[in-house]
Amino acid sequence: MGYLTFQARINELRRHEPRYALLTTKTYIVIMEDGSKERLKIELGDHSQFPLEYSQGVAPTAEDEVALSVINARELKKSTGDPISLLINGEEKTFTVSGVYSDITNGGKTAKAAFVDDAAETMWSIIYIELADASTVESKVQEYQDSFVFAKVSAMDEYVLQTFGSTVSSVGKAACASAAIALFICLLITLLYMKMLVAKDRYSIAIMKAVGYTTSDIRMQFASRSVFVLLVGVITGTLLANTLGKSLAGQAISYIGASSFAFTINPVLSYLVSPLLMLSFVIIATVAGTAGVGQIKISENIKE
Amino acid sequence: MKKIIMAENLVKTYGVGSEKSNVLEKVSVEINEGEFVAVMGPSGSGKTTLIFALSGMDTIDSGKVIFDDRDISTLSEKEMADLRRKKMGFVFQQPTMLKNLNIGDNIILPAMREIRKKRAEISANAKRLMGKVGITELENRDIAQVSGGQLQRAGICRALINSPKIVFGDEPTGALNSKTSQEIMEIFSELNREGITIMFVTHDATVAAQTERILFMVDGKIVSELHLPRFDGSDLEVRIEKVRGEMLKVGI
Repeated sequence: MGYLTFQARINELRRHEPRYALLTTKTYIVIMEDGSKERLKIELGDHSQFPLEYSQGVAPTAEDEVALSVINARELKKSTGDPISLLINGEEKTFTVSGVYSDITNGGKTAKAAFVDDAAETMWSIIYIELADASTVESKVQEYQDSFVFAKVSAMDEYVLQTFGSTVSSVGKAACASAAIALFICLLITLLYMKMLVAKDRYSIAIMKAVGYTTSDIRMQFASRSVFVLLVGVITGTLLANTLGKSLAGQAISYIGASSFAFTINPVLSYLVSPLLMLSFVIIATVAGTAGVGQIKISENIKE
Repeated sequence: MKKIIMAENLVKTYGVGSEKSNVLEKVSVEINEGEFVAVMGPSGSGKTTLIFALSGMDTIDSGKVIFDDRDISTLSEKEMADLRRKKMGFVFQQPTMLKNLNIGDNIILPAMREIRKKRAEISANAKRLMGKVGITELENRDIAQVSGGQLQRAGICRALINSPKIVFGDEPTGALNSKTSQEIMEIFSELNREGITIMFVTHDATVAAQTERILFMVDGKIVSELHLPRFDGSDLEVRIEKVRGEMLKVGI
């Protein structure tokens, strides 16, 4: 009964909404070259409606094509153009890998195909709908939710949040922890370096004092050196973060299934808040690290 | 004549308990503007400590130093640094130069704190002073590339860069050979003739004999002083004999 109503609404969608896609996930067996068997979750349907960006190849369009997620491609040792054998309805069929895409859902182990198979049991279905009028999203979500109590209806923003929420949260936590560690290291290194520099430069500091410089003049010099080094560090760090950092982080993130990861730079955070935080920590460390300048006496260091 | 320094009952003690020793024992001294003064005494007699105390480079336990009408014990660190930079110059026994700066930059170091002075003006003054002591060609040399005598001349230029009222010296010829010592003394004599007060510590009777006033220190006290007429280049042997005679008298 529910299914009939569901089908009726799908048909209704065809009339009212400009773009939609029904994607059904089913489990199939992959027959490996050595004869062993692996289970593979394949999302069936029309993947051209809401196309993904493929890191290799294209979306499956023909009946004998299948696309693999990065992790599945790695584990099954397949790349674009390779043949892959699947058991469909008890019969072995050879498909061609049409493309490889990044996916972090379902543990990063997914696949996509365009063939039709009514025999295998459906694990779940997802219907993507693009509304003609984007402003009606909220009311439509509510309307569909009321109509299909067995389904979960989400606006795309919410869906993205649910899908990537834990990843975003983990990346956020990692970023916060990295920032805290970086600031602590920055504080510690600057503090130790300044203390070492003051100890090493006792004689020069005594000379500076003897010729009329005050403790604060000398500390200001140390601070200007620190800030100069910091500026060089910030500029170099920003350049590296935007070049090498992206590929390094991309490699780390590829282990969770995303082959290409685009970083969106928050300019306020990257170019203002982070440098200002580091500047504050460096100045605090320099002030603390150069406190010994005041204790250095001319007579104890210069007197013959 | 105006007194540039008036020191009363200066006491300076080092060590604690039974190790305690008085380096300065109620030393009082007055230095007039334009005087050429040498301080002599055996090692540990308190000569250098006296110079450091008079210039505010060392603290005293009790007593008072009035420099150019100001009690230096009441000055803040900044006021003392300003006073030292603008009105005092120092020449030490060993060349106290910053290793990371060349000769020219070491010379202008005290003047670079004067934000009102222009760099060109400071450089011109440094060149004039370097010409005066004969080291013009050393301006861009590293301090490791010049002799001890040349470094001492550079030290004198640094001491004079802000046109001080007084130049203190802590054995300024102590590390030099006799020929170079004499050249340095000629520079000091000329500066003194131009009106700059000179006060330095020395062990050398020949050097002291070229000044006008010699203070003899023993065990933290000024025990005697000798006044001589302005040295005009003649009778140096006679002056040296007078100095040595006084040294013998006070037991140096």
